[in-house]
Amino acid sequence: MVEANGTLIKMEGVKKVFYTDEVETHALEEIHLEIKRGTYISIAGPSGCGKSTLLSILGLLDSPTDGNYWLNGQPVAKLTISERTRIRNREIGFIFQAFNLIGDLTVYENVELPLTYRGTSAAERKQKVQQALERVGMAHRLRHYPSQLSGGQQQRVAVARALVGDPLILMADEPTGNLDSKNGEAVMELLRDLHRNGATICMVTHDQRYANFAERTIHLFDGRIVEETQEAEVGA
Amino acid sequence: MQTLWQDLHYGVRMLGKSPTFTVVAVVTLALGIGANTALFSVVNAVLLNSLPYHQPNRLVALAEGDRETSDPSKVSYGAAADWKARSRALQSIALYQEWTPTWTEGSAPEIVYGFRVTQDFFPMLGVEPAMGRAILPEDDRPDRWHIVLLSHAYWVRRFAANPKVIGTNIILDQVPFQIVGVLPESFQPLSFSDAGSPPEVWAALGYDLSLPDACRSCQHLQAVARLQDGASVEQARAEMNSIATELAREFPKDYPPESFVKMTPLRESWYGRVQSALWMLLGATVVVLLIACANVASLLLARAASKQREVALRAALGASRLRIVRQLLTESALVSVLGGIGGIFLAFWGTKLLILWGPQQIPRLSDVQVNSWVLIFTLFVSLATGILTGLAPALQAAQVDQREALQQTSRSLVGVSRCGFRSLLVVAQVACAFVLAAGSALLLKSFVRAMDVTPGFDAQRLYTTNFALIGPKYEDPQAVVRFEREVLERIRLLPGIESAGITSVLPTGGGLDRAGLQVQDRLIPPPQVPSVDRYEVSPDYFPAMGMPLKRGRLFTEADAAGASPVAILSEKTAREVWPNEDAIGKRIQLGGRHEDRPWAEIVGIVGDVHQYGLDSPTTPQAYLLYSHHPFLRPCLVIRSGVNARTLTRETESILWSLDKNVPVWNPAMMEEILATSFSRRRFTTALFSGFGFLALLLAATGIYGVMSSQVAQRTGEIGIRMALGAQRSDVLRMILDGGARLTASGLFLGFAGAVSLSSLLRSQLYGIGPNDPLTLCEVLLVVALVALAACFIPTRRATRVDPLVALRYE
Repeated sequence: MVEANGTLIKMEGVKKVFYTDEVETHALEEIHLEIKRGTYISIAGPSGCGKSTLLSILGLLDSPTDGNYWLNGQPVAKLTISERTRIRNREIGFIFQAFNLIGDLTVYENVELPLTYRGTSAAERKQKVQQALERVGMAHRLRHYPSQLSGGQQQRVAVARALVGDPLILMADEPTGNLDSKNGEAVMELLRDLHRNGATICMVTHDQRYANFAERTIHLFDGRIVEETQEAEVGA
Repeated sequence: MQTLWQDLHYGVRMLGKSPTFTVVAVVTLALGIGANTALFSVVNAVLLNSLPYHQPNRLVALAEGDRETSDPSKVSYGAAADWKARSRALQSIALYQEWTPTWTEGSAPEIVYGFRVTQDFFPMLGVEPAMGRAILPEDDRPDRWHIVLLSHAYWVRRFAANPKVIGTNIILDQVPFQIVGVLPESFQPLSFSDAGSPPEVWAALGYDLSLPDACRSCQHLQAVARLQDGASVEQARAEMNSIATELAREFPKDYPPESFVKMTPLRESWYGRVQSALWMLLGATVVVLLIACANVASLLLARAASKQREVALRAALGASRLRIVRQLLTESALVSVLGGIGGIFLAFWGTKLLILWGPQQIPRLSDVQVNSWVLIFTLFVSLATGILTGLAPALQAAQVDQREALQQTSRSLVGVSRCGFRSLLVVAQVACAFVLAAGSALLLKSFVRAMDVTPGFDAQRLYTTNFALIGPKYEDPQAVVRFEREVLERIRLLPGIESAGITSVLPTGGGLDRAGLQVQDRLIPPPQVPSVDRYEVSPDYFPAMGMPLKRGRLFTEADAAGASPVAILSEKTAREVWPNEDAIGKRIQLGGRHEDRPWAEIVGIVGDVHQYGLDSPTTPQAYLLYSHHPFLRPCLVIRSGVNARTLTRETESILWSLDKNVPVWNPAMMEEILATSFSRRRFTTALFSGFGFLALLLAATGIYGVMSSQVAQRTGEIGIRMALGAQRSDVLRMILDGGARLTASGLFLGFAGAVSLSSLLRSQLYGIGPNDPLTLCEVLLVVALVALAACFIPTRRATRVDPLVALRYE
């Protein structure tokens, strides 16, 4: 359920501190963030600024040390691991830099995986997997194994896997980082198409060219949001 | 040579850098090799070394049998004479019998364990005295047999190795025997006493055909024969059976109509059931070694996987595949050699334990040692182990794709390469462990069932000892009866004594001279005459033994004092001879039918007793009164709460107060005797179970190792699955499923293996079939639980994977 004003994600005073031995590392400080449904947002910043930490908290892979986080109006900052997993499975789609396809599973099985954990019936799974692969143009490679695909094709399959469960938001962590520029461009075009069709996307990137694909970019430095820019035209 | 040295040097360095791997691999192999070496040293000494006689493969043991004899072991002098006269396949036949005379020249009379043998006994075995002379034909006559040869050990113990004893006399059974020779120290007797003592004196048998004991039906001697040159055992056996048939036709009064001669190669007769038990145990240790090899191979495979980049680099720099395989094999060979050294240490220790715990029924157990043959065996096993464990990992590592391995800097795919070969090893380990565990369970159940058998008497608080009456004053049967009655009366007066009796033979004490049971009102044709174990007992024997009276009454003192013979039968005898009638009141004779002699009236029926061991079936038994059939070597049975040491002292005191020349021997509590009768079964069961446990432990370690590796390899995959929404329970199920599949495959193969190998175990089992479904199911459950327990820690580790690993990129 989206809030009345269309806010899908809201963070207030989110902090993340890592404790190792006697050292405290403040990865995120006082993050205030609001993402509305249908937004294409990128998180940019130099290496070590906290981009991935923020994405992991946004994606419910991790929980904040302090602060509040609402996803779709529901407070999610203090959920148990099991509850976080359940919400992550239903509401969030992940696209990873390293694709992270499982080598022993076919393209179909890789895409099907989130639905399997959701307990979706086999017939429904088949239909949704087919649709997701058609959206990324990989429906003809159902029975292939990831090792039989190029890097760009693997990332398209990874996008299909992120889409298959109809998530509220797609979280993309450097989705082009492992691709050459041609394949990188193609994936970015794919994300832009998805956004145009209504998808909410949150992408981490250190590449300004790809950050510009988003309509809104927040810049992180030393764990803080130091700047926020709005693009006049997406993809300009 | 230089490259080999380089490989060795590198191998040592690599092992030193991974001390945990090295220790685990070496200990695993040491356990397997040590168990093998220890058992091989026993098999080598006991079974593989040839018998210590001249041309031992041409020696056979002979015994007479007929339809009624379940396990023939004895021959008669008369029959042996007939065989000698007719056989062409046998070069010679020597006869012997146990002989336990009493030596009375010391402070206390002492039983000496010995044999009486025919004059051709030692020449047939190829044994010559170390001193003096052998038994001559003229010694082997009824009036001349009072000469003895001493064993080397007895000569040293009794005569302080004095060479001047030759020609002197030793008093045995109050008769002087001239010492004519001393046997060599290396001489190994054909058999030992029930207590495991080697024979110390050897006299001539001193029979001729004129003696009553030399009759054709007087089967109380043992026979060993040498085959004629060129004759095979099969030919000799066929000839002897043809002779037996001829003799039965010619002498129908002396030989049963279906007489046969049992001929067994001496080696088989000597080792008996020990042979199959030892081979079975050696087989078990081989299985343990195979499991240990699989474990180490699995560890080496994991190491090989982690060395892919290094191997690829070496190949890129020009190393040939052979060179890479050799380098990796050198490392595994080093591990196996270290394991072999550890195994030899374990074997030294293990053989000492085996000698200490081994049952007396295993011949030549004291000869067991880790000798050069055993060391060669260990060296061979170690090298074979090195190749077995190292070849697959080395070949796998050498097949690595150089380009892929060197360029592999990113992780775009996860979860590939799931230790396929290692999984196969785990399946094999579980299968082998199941086979051994099933064998262990069957043996354990057999042991428990044999122990649970009621012997037919109450062994608790039951003391026994043997004594013998020697000398001319006991030639009068009434003197014997008076002595024995006096002894019993005095013992009963001792404090704490509940009852005391005597018997001619102690139950579970082994063989008896079985006797045919003749019924007064029924003329039974000779072949159908039932054969019974015969006991002569005092009236108080039954209460002293705690044997239940089933019907009728027990013997009374009035019976003992009276002239009318009476008898008591066991239930089995009564049931078999009078299936539809009451045996009480019937009249019988034991032995031949003699109408001119009195018939004994059956007055009671008592419970059956396991005479030949608790794991042997009961046999028909008959009891007569000691006063009507006096015997000179009775066994005392005393039921009391008094300890054995006190009873021994009191009994000796009473016996020696009546006659200072009475030897007393084998004092023991009945429970100890029963326990000793289980020593071989206990030994086999304990060792096999130990190997079964070790196999299960090693298999569990193997499963743990493979599952740990899989979890480590699949950490990325697990993280991604969790990032995509897999709950911990999903991960748990996924990992356990992998372990369960391996375990189930292993159990399936193991089950099939156990069923197909079960026949090998049959001879060692009691009261349970080799394919007992309940036992196999129980073992299935236990092995499955152990395997799943081994999966538990890696599985738990898998469920704790942080899904953040999905975001990490290296």
